[in-house]
Amino acid sequence: MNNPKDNINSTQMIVFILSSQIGVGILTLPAKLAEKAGHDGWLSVIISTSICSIIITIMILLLKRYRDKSIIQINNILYGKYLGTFFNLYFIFYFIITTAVIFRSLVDIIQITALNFTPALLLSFVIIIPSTYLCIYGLQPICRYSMLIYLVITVTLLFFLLVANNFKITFLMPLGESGLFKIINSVKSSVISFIGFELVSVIYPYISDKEKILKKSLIANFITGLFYTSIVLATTALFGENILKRLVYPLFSLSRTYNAPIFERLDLFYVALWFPAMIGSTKMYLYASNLAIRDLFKLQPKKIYIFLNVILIILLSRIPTNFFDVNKYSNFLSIMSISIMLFIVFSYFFSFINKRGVNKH
Amino acid sequence: MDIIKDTEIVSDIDLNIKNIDYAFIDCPDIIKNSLYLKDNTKVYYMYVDNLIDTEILYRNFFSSIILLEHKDFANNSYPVYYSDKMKNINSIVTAVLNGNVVFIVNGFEYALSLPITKFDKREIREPDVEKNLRGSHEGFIEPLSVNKSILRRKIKNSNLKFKTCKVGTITNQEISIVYINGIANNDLLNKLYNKISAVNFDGIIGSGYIQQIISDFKYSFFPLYQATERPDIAVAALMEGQFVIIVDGTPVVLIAPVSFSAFFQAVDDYNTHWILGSFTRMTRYFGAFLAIYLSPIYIAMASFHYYMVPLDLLIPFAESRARVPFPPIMEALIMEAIIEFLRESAIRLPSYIGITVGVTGGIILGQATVQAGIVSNIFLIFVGVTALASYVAPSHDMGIAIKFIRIIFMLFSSFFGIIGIVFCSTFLLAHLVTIESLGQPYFQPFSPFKFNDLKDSVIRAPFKYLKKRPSIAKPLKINRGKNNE
Repeated sequence: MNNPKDNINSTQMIVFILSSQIGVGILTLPAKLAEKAGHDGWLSVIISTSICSIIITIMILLLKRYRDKSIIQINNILYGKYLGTFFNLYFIFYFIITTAVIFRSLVDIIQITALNFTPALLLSFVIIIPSTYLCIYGLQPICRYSMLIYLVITVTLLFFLLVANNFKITFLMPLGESGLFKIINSVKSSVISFIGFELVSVIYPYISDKEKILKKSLIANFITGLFYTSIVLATTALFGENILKRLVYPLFSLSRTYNAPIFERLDLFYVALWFPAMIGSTKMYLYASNLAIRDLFKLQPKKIYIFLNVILIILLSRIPTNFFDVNKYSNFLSIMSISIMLFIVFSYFFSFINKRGVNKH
Repeated sequence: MDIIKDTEIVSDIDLNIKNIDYAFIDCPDIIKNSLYLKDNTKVYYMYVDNLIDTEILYRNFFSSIILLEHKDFANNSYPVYYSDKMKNINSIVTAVLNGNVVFIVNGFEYALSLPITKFDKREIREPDVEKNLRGSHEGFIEPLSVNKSILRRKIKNSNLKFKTCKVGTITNQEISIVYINGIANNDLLNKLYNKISAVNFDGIIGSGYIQQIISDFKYSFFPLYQATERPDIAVAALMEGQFVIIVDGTPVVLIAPVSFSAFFQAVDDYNTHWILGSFTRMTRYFGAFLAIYLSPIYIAMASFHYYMVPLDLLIPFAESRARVPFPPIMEALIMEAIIEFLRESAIRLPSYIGITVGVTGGIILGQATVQAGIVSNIFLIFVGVTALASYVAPSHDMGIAIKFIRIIFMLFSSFFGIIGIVFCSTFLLAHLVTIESLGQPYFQPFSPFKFNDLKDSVIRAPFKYLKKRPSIAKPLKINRGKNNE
C-alpha cells in the first residue's frame, strides 16, 4: 500500500485495461462466434463493446461514490462485515480461477504450437516467472511492460494488410443473415473476451488522476472493441464461416496463410510476439488477486504471498486433464464473470439504498 | 589516520617536531628539515617528495622566508600568501599529504602552509576505449583537479557547480558531483549526494566501485550509470541536467541518471548530419538485436524448429549440420568460449602479440573447427556476425551485458526452442522496465512512453527538433538556449 511504485496515472490505466482484455480470449473468439452467429460475429462484438461500455460506466460511477476505495473495501461497507466478506471471497475466488484458466490456456497454446513434448508442469513454472517478477515490483512496472500491447495491435493490423488481397467481402454478405436472435445469443461468448476491465475496481485507489478514469477506461474499451471487430472481420473475410468454425486459433491460422519470401514461416515470429501479450493478461489477474487478498485480510505487501498465490494458480491450472475440460472450466468462468458484472451493477443501485460511507460532494 | 593521536601544536618547536616525526614514522618520502630566519628563529618545514613543485619551493618559499623575522609572523605580514593557521597535528598531516609545504615557526602555536602541488600526471589524450571521429580528442585523466579544470574550460559559466564529499575510509579520496545549477534537479542532487556520502568502503579504486555500491538494483547487470572517459559526453550530459560523478584517481566518470538508449549514442551522431547520425544509431540497435538473437535462433532452429529454416537454405544447412556430432548448444558454447578467450587475451597482451593472437584464433581456429567437424559452417557465420555485433554498442558495459544475455538466451533456447527465446525476451523486457537509474525509469522513452525523448533515442532528429531537454533527469529548465520559461 505504501509502495510508491504502485501509483499509476490514467494513461497507464488504458494500457492496464487493454493488456488485461487482450490476451487468450481473442484467439478462440472468431471460431466460437462463427459457430454461433455465422458470418455476423462482428456485429456481436460491436454489441458487446457497447454493453461493456455501459458496465464500465456504472462501475466507475460506483467507485466514484466511495472515494479512494477498492471494490473489496466497498463491499465491506455496503453489505456489512459478514455478507461483504463473503462477496469478497467470491471476488478473490473469481480472480484466482480466471488467472488459472488464462494461464492454462496459455500453456496449452504453447504446447500445441511449439513444444509438444515438454512436461506441462515444468513449462508452467518457467512461464510464470516474468509475471511473478513484475507483480513483486508493483503496478508501475506492470503497466510499463504492458506497453507491448500497442506493438501487438500494430503488428496484427499490419498482418491484415499483408493478407488483405485474399479477403473476400462476399463471405461477410448478406449482412445480418443469421438473424437477431442468434447474434444476441452469441453476445455471451464475445462479452467474455472483454473481461479484464473489472480489475479497475481493485486498482482504483492507486490511480492518481481520478477525474479522467471514466473517459480513459471507455477509450480503452473502445480500442479493444475496434481491435476485436477487425480481427473477427478479417478472419471471417479470409476463411469464411464454414472453415472458421473448425479452426482452433483462427488468428494464428490467418498468419500462416501468408508466405513471406525467404523467411517462409513468418507466422512463427508473429505467434512468438503474442506470447508476451498473453503472459500480460495472466499477470494482471495475478496482481489483482494478490491485491484483493491483501485488501481483504489487511496484509502487508510481502513477496511470500505472491509466491504462494503463484503456486496455487499453477496447481489449479493443472486440474483440467484435457482441452475439453479446459473449455468446461472456461464456460464456468464465463458464468462467473457475468455474475461479477451483474453484481457490480447491482452494487451501484444498492449504494443508493444503503448510503453508508458514500462520498458526499 | 586514527593511529596518530590528535595533538595540539605548542609553542615549543622541539616538542612539535617530535610529534610530527612520530606521525610520519616510516614515511621516507616525506622530506623534513629545519631552517633559520634572519633573527635565528627556528623553522621546521616538511613536504612530500615529488608531490610539489621544487622550483617554486626554492624560488618562492626559501628565498622569501629567510628574509622574514619572528615579528613578521607575529604581525601576520608575509610577502606570499600562506594558508589558514593549522592548530593540530592531524591537519598538518592532511595538508602535507595533499601536496602543501607545511612549516611551523618556533614560538607560535600554529602551522602554515604553501600550496605548491605539482605531481607527474598523464598527458590529456583521447581515451583508447572510446574513440570518435569528429569530436574533441581529449580524455579525462586521473587527478580530480585536472578533470575539474577540463570541465570548467568547456563550460565557462559560474553555474557549473562541484559538490564535493570524501569517500574511502583509508584512501580519503575526494568525489565531486558536477551539475549545472538551474538545470539540474535538486531532489535528484540530494538523493545522489546522500547515496555517495553513505558509501562506507575503505577505498574507491575505480568509479565502477561507486557505480555498484550506490546502485538501487544490485542484481541487475545492466549499467545503471554511464561510465565515460570523454569530457564532451560529460558536458553534453550536464547540459541535459544530468549529474557527473568524478572520483579522484580514475579517469572514468559516471553519468546519472541515464536511460537504456544512452548506451547506444555516440558523440559522432550529433556531429554528422542527422540522417547519417540516425542511420549509425539504428545500425547499433540492429547490431545489439542481432548480437542477442542470432545465435539463440540458430540453436532453436537446429534443435527444434527445422521447419523455420527457409527451404532454399535447408539443404546447405542440413549438410553442414550433418558433420557435427555435438548438439547445437555445445557447438555454440564452444565458439563463444573461443571468442571470449580471444577477447580476454587480446585485452591484456601488448598490441604486437595481440595481432598474433587474432590471427591464430580467427583464421586457424575458425577454419580448423569447421574442417574437424566440431562446428558447422553456417554457424561460424552466425558467430562471426554476432561477435562483431556485440562490439557495436559504444559502451563496454553494455557490450558485456549483451553478451551475457546472449548466453542465457542460448541456454533457454536449447531447452525450450523458440519459446525459450520468447520467455527470455519477456523476462528481459520485464527486467528493463523495472530497473531504474537514480529513481528514473531505465527503459524510457520507450516505456514509459515519452514522445519528446524519442526524437533522440533510436533516431537522432535534427537540432531544430531537439530544443527541449530530455526528461530523464527532470531538468528545471525544459528548453535549451534562450527564452527559457
